Amino acid sequence: MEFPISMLIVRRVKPLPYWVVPVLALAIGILVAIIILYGISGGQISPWDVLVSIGQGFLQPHLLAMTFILLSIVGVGLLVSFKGAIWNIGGEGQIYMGAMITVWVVLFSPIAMMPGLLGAFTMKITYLILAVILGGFWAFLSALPRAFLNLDEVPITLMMNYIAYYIVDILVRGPWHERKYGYLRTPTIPENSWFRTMVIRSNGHIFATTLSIELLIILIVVFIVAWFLLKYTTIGLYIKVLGNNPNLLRSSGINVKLIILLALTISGAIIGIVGAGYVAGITHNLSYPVEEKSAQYGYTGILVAWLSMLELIAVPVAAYIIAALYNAGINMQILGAGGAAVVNVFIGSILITYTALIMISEYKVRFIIKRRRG
Amino acid sequence: MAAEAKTDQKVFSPPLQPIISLRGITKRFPGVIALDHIDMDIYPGTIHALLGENGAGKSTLVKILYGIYTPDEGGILINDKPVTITSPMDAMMHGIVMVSQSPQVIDRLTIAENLILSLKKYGYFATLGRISKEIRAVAKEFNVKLDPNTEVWKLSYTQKQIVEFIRAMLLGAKVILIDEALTYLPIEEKKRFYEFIKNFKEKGGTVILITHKIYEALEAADMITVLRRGKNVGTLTRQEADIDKVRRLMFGERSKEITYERLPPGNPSGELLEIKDLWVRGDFGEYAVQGVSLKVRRGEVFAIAGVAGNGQKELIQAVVRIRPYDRGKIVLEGVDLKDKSTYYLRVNGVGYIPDLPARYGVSIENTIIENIAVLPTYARGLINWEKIRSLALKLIKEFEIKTPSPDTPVKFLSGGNIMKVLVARELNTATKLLVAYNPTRALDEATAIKVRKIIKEKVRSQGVGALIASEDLDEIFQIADRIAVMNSGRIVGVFEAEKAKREEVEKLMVM
Amino acid sequence: MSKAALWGTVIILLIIVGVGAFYAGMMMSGGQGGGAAGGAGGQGTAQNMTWTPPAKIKAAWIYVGPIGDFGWSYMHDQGRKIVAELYKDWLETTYVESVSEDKLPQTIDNLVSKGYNVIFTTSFEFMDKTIEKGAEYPNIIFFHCSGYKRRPNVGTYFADLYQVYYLNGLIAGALTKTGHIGYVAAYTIPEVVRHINAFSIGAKEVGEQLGKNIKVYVLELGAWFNPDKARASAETLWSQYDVDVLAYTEDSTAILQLAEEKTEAYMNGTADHPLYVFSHYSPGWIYGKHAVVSGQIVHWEVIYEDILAKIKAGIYTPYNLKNVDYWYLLDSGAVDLGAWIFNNGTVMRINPEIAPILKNITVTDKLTGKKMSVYDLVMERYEMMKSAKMSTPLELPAGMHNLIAQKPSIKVDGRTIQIASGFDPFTGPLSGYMKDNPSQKVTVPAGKRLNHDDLWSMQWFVDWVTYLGRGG
Repeated sequence: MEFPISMLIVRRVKPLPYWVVPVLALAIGILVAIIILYGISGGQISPWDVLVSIGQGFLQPHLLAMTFILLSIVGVGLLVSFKGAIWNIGGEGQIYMGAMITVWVVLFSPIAMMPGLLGAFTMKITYLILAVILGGFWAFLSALPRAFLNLDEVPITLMMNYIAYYIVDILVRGPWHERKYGYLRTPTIPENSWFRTMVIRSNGHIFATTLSIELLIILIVVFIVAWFLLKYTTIGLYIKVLGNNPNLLRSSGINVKLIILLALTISGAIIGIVGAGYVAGITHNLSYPVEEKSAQYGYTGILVAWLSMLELIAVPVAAYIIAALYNAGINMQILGAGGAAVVNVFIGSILITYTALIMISEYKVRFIIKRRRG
Repeated sequence: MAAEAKTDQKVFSPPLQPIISLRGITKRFPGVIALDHIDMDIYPGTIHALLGENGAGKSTLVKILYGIYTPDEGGILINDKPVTITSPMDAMMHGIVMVSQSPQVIDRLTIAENLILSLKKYGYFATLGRISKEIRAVAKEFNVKLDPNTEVWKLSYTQKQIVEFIRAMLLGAKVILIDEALTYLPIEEKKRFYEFIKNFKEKGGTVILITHKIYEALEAADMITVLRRGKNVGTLTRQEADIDKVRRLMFGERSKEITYERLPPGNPSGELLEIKDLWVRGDFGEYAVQGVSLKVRRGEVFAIAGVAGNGQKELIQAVVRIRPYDRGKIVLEGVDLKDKSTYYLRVNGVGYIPDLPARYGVSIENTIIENIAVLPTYARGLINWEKIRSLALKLIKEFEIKTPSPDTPVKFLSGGNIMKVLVARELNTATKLLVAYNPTRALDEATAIKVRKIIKEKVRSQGVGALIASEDLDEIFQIADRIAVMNSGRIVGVFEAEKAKREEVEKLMVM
Repeated sequence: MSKAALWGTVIILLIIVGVGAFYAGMMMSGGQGGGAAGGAGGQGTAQNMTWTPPAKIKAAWIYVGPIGDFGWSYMHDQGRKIVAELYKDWLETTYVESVSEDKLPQTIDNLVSKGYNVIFTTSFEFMDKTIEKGAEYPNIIFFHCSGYKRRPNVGTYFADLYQVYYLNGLIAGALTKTGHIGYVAAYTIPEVVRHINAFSIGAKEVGEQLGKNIKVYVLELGAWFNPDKARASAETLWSQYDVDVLAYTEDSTAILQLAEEKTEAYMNGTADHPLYVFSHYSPGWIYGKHAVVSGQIVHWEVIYEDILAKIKAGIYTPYNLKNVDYWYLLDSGAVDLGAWIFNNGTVMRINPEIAPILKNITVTDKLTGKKMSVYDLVMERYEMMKSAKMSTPLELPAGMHNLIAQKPSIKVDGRTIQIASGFDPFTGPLSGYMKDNPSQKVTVPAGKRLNHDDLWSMQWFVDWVTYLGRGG
């Protein structure tokens, strides 16, 4: 018994133009989300409200700037290792190592004990450099078993996230927790170490943003460094070849283990910056238990990297889309179109549709009417 | 369904009606006309060879037949009815199945599991038992031994190709496209395959054999169509065809360059590479190389002849230090290589052409210039792309690599051109020593001879030493200054090339 | 066009759209802000200290959890709905739930740009961000729940349950047979620590008289809302520590349901001890009609009603909130003792199935030396704390909190007038140990009543509390 019509998915010979896929995928994703929300709410959630929320979500760059910047940096960091087919799932751990060292520098280090020793700028540079080193180190630890024992890096980097969480938890519950009120959080870091967000005041109107110029500059620097690395250095080239054909590296005399170590370490180093940005730009403290407080940029970043289809230039675009969708979720709630659960369904269904369409964009769907042969 | 195709038609009687006809097929790619108004008829019950040099358009034509490309102009007739084939599924529905160079199988699964995955017609509820039974039936029919429950990774390349054939049989193939799938098989295995497809032909099947090897076409085909630069330059029956005729069609003017004369000898000087009592383990821990000793001098080609699988691969890999060795010594210019890495060799002028270029020699997702820059010889630390690009352009010109630009990903090149990229890069790298394994296997005759000439010229004029293992005796006799025969991991004879006798070498190879 | 050029075009387009939207947003926020940021915007510059309450108050609530938790966020949202109905003529409300700390600035900015002029941030971890945003928007009124930082436009408020926990503790001490009492804590932050201590003090007060060796076992969840972990922790306490009475701080009903199962098993004779429980935050009797004894109830609307009325009346402005700190206790009506509220408003203080047991246990009131049933003792203490109405206004200005503990009563014409409750559970003698350093002892001398600041930074447990660490 055969169906007379069958659906076939065929690989496209000529891929569609690059911009078509993301734009179409997003549009279809939004449509699907609207239909799903309309369905599950029994018509309660008006498609118009959802559309307005999405529109606002995308058109409030000043509100999503922080999420956008931090997600972009994570995305760039992950991209470096993903290019080498090294799947760094350990962004969270690398972020928290960066966050941990930042808190240490500004609150507990010898530098912190001597206020005024370093100016704000030197202080920021110090913890950024240390965040890079610690994030890189954390990734390097996960890279060792991958390089020398050929163990799959996915579970290892993932487990290292939990180890990082618990290390920070121990510090926050123990030696680092603020003594005055006894809450399980570190004291607030001194204001001169913050990445301040921009506020524009004019004529009595106040226009606050979540944009930190310093973090934006850091993003641009990271972006240029990653671009240069991948484009103009042999390390970058080796990482790309590692992802495609490690045998070529071997026969070219390149130390494959070293490239694996480098790919993950560089990736972790970049992501470590996000830890510094997260603490100095948003939370200004770490609170227990970090695994529940975490904004999970390390995981969302994976989505960013995937949606960019591993094109560096597309990473900010993907980060913007995701940041805008989260922002649209906030708008939906304010508008009364649904609570957090509805928002999760909304973001989830857009992203799933979007991802699926991006992935199958190399294929086309065909319907075939079967005829009896013979 | 195969039974339906079986007719009373006699195998050698002139077929009346073509099963597939191509009319005016044209396909353009940016900057090139890959196929230029191709007309062609393929008759049922024949083995039809499609012959052409690298980049002549063979693969494009096959891809059109298989629905991977659609023609810009022209049409396809099957049994005189016009059809459109826009996907491999379409092709399969018309009974056309392709067996490609790289077997499309999943290593972790068994043969039966692999086939159940790819045979949609068995539906989603097919049992392994049923599939296994059918596999056994086909295997018996074609006289091969194959346990459907074997995991694919345990199979040799040839056996994987047989699995592909069985898949085609189970799909009810009437026409099988073989795209260079036999090129990489050792001669013995190739012969078994000819039996296999002749058997299929006798059962009424049709085979289109795509190859750049003339002898392959002459040995197996009933009809030979030659493509040159996207045009059909002639179709011959086996009786009409002889090697010179085919060569002329294939290469035109260049056919005059084809010669199997021994190339001028090198001018050996001092000792370059010495291997002493070398023991190397193969992939399964056995000793694949058992106490080999040899010396390569500057300015000579030292060739190793042998049937595939007698330790040449392991020997070559040990020399370039991508495979460890247990005992013995490798000395390059007085330096013991025991503690040296491949990197050391590469930056010291050692070129390496591995077998199976797409797997070991290039990264097909990367561009030509990236495939050059990956050698530490050309870039360390920062990459000067301008320098690499001009080198690439030079090599593209010198080796007549057909590519739109040096920034094209290698995967878009034809098999032969991929090999050229590799050979060009490695020859340019080899300022002291060239180590190679089957360096011209993927190349058409004219190009292969040209590459040999370039190698020999380099050896002669620049005093480079070459250690070349090859399964092709024509190649060995054409290029070598000294010939060693390798059998079961040992060197069983070394000859000065000018004094070597082919029969003697052959005897030692199969001893 | 090359791939890079295409991407470039997309990005440039995005930037253009973004910049356009940025200015459009500025203009919009300006437009809406005029009406919304209220009088101040209309009256003049940001620095102008005059304030006219806006005709329409747009108030937004930001919750850390989902309002469906039936705990903390749920009760805040109940409060929101009540005031929204009450003041519907001039009040418009909205809420955003499940907001994490890192998304708070963005959420506040968004609300302000949509014209919201009163913003309630209802979680402790929002404290620093609320202060920062308060500084950025000096014309917007913020109220932060449960924190201790304020500024001219950021007030604080809290409905404190420790007295209710003490009352629950009295009942627990009477009910327990094993002498082992449990407490499942979300976090052992000062707020929860004083709840645990108050509960333990009550339990010991009664239990000791009945000859029981009262021990309170504490397991910490590390989450405000985690039904699975809460259930598992309660199960551990019941099965491994023979706990038969339990209180908790967690925002789901999981523990109530577990307690009902255990208590039913005990009643059927399949378990050797029950698990009585005190429902937390929202009335929980229907989730355990046999197991839920009593509980803590919150009425945030009491506070919201007061705040919003005062904003509307022009009493609270963005310039005078520096010392506004609601610390509302039992006497304010913002918290209450009970297991259920019926539709007619009657409160079920103690489960009628269990009340008879309490009425049959006789103890001595340590204040008066009078013998009475536990039930009467609970009601007497309840009345004492509930009726100290004079202190409610004093519990509003931040500076007065400690005064109440120092001077619970004044003398007028030779009469003693009770300002604060005549009784407070945190009155010495008490002894305990530091949570983080058990070898460090803490003693409260006899007769000393702990003040607000002592309670708000409480980091020690009374001696009969055993902290078991993180469970689940």
